[in-house]
Amino acid sequence: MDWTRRQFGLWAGAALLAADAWAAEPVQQAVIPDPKATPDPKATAEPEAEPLVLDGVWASATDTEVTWTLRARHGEREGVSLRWLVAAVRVVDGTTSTGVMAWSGDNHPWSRRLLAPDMVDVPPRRLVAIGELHAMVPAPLRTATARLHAEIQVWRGEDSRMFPLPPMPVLNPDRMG
Amino acid sequence: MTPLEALVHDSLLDWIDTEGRPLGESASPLWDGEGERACPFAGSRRGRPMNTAALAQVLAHREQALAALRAASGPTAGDAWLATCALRWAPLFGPRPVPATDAATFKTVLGITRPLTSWLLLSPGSAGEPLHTLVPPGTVVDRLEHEGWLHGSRQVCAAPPERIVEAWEALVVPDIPEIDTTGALVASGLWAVLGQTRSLLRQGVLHEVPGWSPVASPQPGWPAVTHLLAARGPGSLVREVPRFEPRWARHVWVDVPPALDALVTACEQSRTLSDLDGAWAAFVHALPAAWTAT
Repeated sequence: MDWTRRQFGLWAGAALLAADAWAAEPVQQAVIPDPKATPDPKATAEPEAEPLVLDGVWASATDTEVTWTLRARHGEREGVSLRWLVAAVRVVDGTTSTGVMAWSGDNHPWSRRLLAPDMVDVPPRRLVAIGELHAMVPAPLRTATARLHAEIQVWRGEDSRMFPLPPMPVLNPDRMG
Repeated sequence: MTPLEALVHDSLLDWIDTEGRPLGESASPLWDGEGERACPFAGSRRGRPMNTAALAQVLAHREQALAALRAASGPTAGDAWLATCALRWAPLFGPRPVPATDAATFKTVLGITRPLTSWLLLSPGSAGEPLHTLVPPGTVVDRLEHEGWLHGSRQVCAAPPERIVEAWEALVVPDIPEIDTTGALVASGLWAVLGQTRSLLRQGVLHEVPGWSPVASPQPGWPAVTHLLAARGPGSLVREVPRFEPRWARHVWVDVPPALDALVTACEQSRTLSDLDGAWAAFVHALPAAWTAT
């Protein structure tokens, strides 16, 4: 009876609490401009918040697996809470190999376990590591020119978006000359 | 290890009972893997791996487990939650290896306490209502199924539907019991502290945690609350939701203990992780001495 950590129930519970959490968030009142007012020439528009940016950097490798550290940065005023999972990967090196198994954290697909990843808090305007992405990359695919193209699904509250990561080298870039 | 540390880190899951089984079953690395079979029950569980050996143990001690639920619970949903907490952490002060009866009770309440916690947190004020107003017995299995509570990370819940209803019904009794609520107090206090910890980390108090990332293991010099945040145990609830406001910790209580009230206020006023360390230390200092004795 493994009831200590649920799979989809956790997601459902998290989503419900998430809705409550976001609803409880103090909402900034939108300023409705007065059409009769003369525009202030000194007024400057507030710069748009920097969007969420994600990338992965090569971290380590074994005979069978390659690991990248996933990093995130955003420019919102307050930190954001995210969770993410690997959605799709392929290795591109002239040709495309799609039969690559990839996973996040401890969610190895052969373990029959799917752990809902913990929320990670990303403070504003800081590039921080938010997790590890692993892929089984066989030796023939490990060339200096091969790149892993990964797409990850990122949840923020109840909303989720797909993020394609910038292509990542499968070999240690420090040793690629 | 003190009982408090064992609670925070959920060490109980690895404790062995008199039949040689770890209390946490497959959630413990000590689990032997025997007795895993395809689930025969209807619904989304059918065909998925299920721990029949654990089920056999729980059924063998079923009457004692139900009696323990009845003895510990009371008329409200909040009383039922306190009962599940008291029985969940009762082995902390019991004999080792854990008696098989207590292990069966532990496994029974483990399946109830987390959904009940979630439902109380989501419905402020419901702790004072009858449990069957919050979730009538006839709907509890459907709700567990609908919200996915019957699926663990490795296995599905091994309890037959009628046994789930039976346990739910056992939690409704007219009299208020005399039980130790310290475990529940610690768990809800932990949520308040960790909720504010995450809030401050999101705001970027990174000078207090040099080298911090959301997934890095806590370093020795970091404030104690970051270590609590990383621990297995009741605090993990706070890691599973985007935000946990400290005041939500009051939702599970009918009569909020003054110590929790004071901790929630201290958490809300904390602006640094060190402040939170101080608030948690004061809270722990006021606990009964047995909780912090090695």
